[in-house]
Amino acid sequence: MKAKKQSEIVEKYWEGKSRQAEEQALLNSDLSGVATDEKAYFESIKQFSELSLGSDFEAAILEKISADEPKIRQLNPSWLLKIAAVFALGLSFYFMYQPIPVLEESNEIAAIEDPEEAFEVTKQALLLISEKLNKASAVDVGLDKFEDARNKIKQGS
Amino acid sequence: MSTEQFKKDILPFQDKLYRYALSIVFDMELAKDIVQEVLLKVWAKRAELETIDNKEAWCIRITRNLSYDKLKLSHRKNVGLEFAENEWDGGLTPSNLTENKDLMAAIYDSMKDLSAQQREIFRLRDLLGYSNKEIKEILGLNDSQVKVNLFRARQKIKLKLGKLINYEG
Repeated sequence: MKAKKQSEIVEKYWEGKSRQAEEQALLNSDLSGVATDEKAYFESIKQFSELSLGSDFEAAILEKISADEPKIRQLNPSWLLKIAAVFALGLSFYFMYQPIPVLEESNEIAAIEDPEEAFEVTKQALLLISEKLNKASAVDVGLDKFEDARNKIKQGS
Repeated sequence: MSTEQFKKDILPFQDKLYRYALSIVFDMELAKDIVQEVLLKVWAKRAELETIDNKEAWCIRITRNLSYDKLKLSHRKNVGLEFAENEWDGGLTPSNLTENKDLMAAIYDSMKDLSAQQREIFRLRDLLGYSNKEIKEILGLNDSQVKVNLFRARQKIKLKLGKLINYEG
């Protein structure tokens, strides 16, 4: 940056009218166009704006916050297998020692103590069976007729 | 917020926070401690961070409050923040001027005659490189307050440098 431009920016700076980019350009220049006392001022501003904490500081901060961060522990696969084996063993023991449920007989006829009533129930049961058998026989008669008809057709052909 | 997010969103401000703290306490070690405390505070409040629009301005405000608290503490003054700002002497003592002594003295010298508000605007604009718009946001001022105070601050500094002829401030 030329000396003339530098002094123009300095003028604007004191008036509070300089833009940030101009001020930055001035600070980055050799300040040859700036009066000695003002030059010292701008140099100190520049030096100050370059102060930094450095990477050590950042590393120390990151270490501190990492220590504070909640950790998600990764389970070892061998541990998972052990846990699964113990679970399976527990489950097998549980079922092994479960009492076997005894099925209660619910025999209605056996529960009837009155002989007449038992006779009636038995009669109804037998009637029901015979009815079913009759139906089946009727179907059977139909089948015989079908069979006869088929034989006749065979013989005819 | 994860460590990575913190590294990306917050740590880039650390140097600005350091310079800001330094421009208040003028003690490099103390400024470092302040920034460390600020960053750990921000990390502790990371759940709140999602709701904050301007994280940088938020960090600056925390740094400002903590710096004045430390300054008050170092002076053993039982006074409020506003008083500390008005009675600011930068904590400048020979013992803490070992590093960058001349630079610190020059910056301190530039600022010592400014009012609290002028000093604040000078810090943010000239030492930290914030724009007027950003300063407005950080300090909660309007445009003209920022411009007028920046102008007056620079005029006072210029006067000190012996360059101003007609200054009315």
